[in-house]
Amino acid sequence: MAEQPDPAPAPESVAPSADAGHQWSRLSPRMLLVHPVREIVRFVPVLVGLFVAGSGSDGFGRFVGPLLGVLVAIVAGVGRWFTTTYRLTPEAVEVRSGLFSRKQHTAATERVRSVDVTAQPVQRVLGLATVKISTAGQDALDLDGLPAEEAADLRSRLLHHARQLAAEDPTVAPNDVPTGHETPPEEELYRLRPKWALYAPFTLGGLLAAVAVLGFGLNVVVELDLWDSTLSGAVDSVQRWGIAAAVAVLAAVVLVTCVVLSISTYLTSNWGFRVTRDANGRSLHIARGLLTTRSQSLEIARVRGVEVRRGIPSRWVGAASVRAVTSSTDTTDAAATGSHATLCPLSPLPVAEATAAALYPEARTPVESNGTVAVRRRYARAAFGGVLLAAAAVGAGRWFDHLTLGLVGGGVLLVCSVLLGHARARNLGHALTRHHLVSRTGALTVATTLLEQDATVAVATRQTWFQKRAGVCTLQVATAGGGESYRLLDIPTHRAEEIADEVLRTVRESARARRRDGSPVRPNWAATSATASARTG
Amino acid sequence: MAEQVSDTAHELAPRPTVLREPARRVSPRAKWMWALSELIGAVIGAAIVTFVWSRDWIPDFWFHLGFGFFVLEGLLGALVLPWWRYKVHRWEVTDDAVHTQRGRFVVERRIAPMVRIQTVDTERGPLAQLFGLSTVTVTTASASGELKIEGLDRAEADDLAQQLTVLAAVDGGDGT
Repeated sequence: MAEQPDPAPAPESVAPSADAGHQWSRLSPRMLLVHPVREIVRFVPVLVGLFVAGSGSDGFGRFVGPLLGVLVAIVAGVGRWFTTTYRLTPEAVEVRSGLFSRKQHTAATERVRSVDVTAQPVQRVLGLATVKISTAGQDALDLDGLPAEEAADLRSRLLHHARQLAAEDPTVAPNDVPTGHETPPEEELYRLRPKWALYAPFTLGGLLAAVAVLGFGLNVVVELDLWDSTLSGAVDSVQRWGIAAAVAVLAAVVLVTCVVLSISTYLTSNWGFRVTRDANGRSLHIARGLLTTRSQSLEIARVRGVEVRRGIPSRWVGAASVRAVTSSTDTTDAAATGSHATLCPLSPLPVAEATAAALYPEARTPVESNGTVAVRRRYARAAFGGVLLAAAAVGAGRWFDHLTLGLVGGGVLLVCSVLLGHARARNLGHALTRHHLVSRTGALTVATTLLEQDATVAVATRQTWFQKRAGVCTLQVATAGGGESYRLLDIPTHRAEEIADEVLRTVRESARARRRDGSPVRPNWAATSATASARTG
Repeated sequence: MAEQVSDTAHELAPRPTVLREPARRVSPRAKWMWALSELIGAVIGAAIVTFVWSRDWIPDFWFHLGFGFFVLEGLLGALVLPWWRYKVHRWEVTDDAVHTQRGRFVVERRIAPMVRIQTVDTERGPLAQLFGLSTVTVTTASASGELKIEGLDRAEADDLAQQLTVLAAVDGGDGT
């Protein structure tokens, strides 16, 4: 399959110093220390839970079960270490594992899509890392416990090799690889500033939690009839206010704890978040982490788009996050789901947009509305849904003899529905450029997605009788990655035709040309190659 | 093979719009297949409702409602729906794409560029076999990018599958 000529035949005996030679070796023995620590750390919450659950009837007997479980897990981890061996060759990474059933996993170097290097705190102390190699058409390969330098070597070698194939450079032999310690100049696309952690509490979950806490506090206050001044004597008014104050303080404490927790979670997982693109522009590196460091490298050719996401309430304070749309890893499995890679955690909107634009300059294209019909239909649907919800709430209120609560709840639901419909209507939009398509949708989370047109695998339109009367339809673009399909809602039919034409034309053109990275276009059926070659040309 | 291609390819130059209604219909026998399938479904539903009612697990009102619903569904499904589906369900193969149109209440048109097709499957369910029909499924790299043509005459379906296999194997690059 490799098209590039190999000038120097590489005999198996020539072992470059970069890898561990061509014999099978075990993972680092220091992992024997890591496995017990890992399992014990996992055991700690159980321990705490059992402690808090109070003294049981059998005293410390209740710890026996979980302790045995931890021991078994440790033994299993150590057993895995004993039975796992790996081998690095220029063509592939091979792993043999399994106690009873020996399995061999091979990851061919040229099919590597992304390489993740993760190091937990214990591993970092011992100078180890875990390498996860994702390839096309297979499950990811795990090397749990390589020395850190070897892990870095391996990653740069795998990606460098992929780049070589891409560049079709006949002067560079496959074995002539640099050691992993030299770092070519790279372009930084994003760097986290710690103060952005202040955006962390502004998530939908946080908002709901805050509302719940406040609602609970208010409920308690109301229940105690503190506003009823006719009550006297029996309950001292100072006492009542004291209770109110206590409830307020409790609510405040809970809120502050939630805020602190969310900020610290943000910091521990996103500390040092940095996205860089290497000098050739062929791979993207995403590194982050405070205690557990994660470093993910993926080929830019697998990135098919970018998505800027603004949620509630974070967009009210001007924050957004960005993720890359990556194509699925399995070319043969039509049902394989694509995936996303986070490029920016919650950050200021200008920074997020700049990161997206650094990857795709077209991300800055202004988005145009889907049309008046689309706006009208969003409001109509929101109103309809809101009325239904409100009716259900009122009905429930009547059923449970809480009519006022039902009415209030129904009113709130209706208002929320209409507000969401308004948000949806306002944020609906799309844009078409020469090679890209932008779609913006959402109410709670507004996502502006930019896709490469040639990532499209199919185009569909859906039209109900109502849409037909209004002269609109919904255009759906199916892609091999990311969310699998993206919809442009209620756009005028002629616009849908324009967009479909443009997208399919781009797909045709890109298929005719060679791939960007120069690799030959792969045929899908080997069996029909005879007929195919008769038709090609 | 070349003759078959030019038979179904109506144009060699790209058309101004791709979202037109596809030209070809499926086999008229598909109407019978759909009618039978709906009828069977309705009969099973009514049978279940009757069984549940005969055991006194539901009151009379629900039985009448359920039974009436299935009777109505059966009538509509057997008399009206197949004719409508036959009218809507269309397909076409051009030099660079496969087009389908289908739907009951929502009309859906799908286009899969030839270069993105991964597999072409032909399947025959029990009812389809009764009427000598097949379903052709064209898959791409996305689960949402699947095109189905139901109720094709069996020979026609086999021809189509073969033709698509040849046409799609020429190009590559499935979009991933």
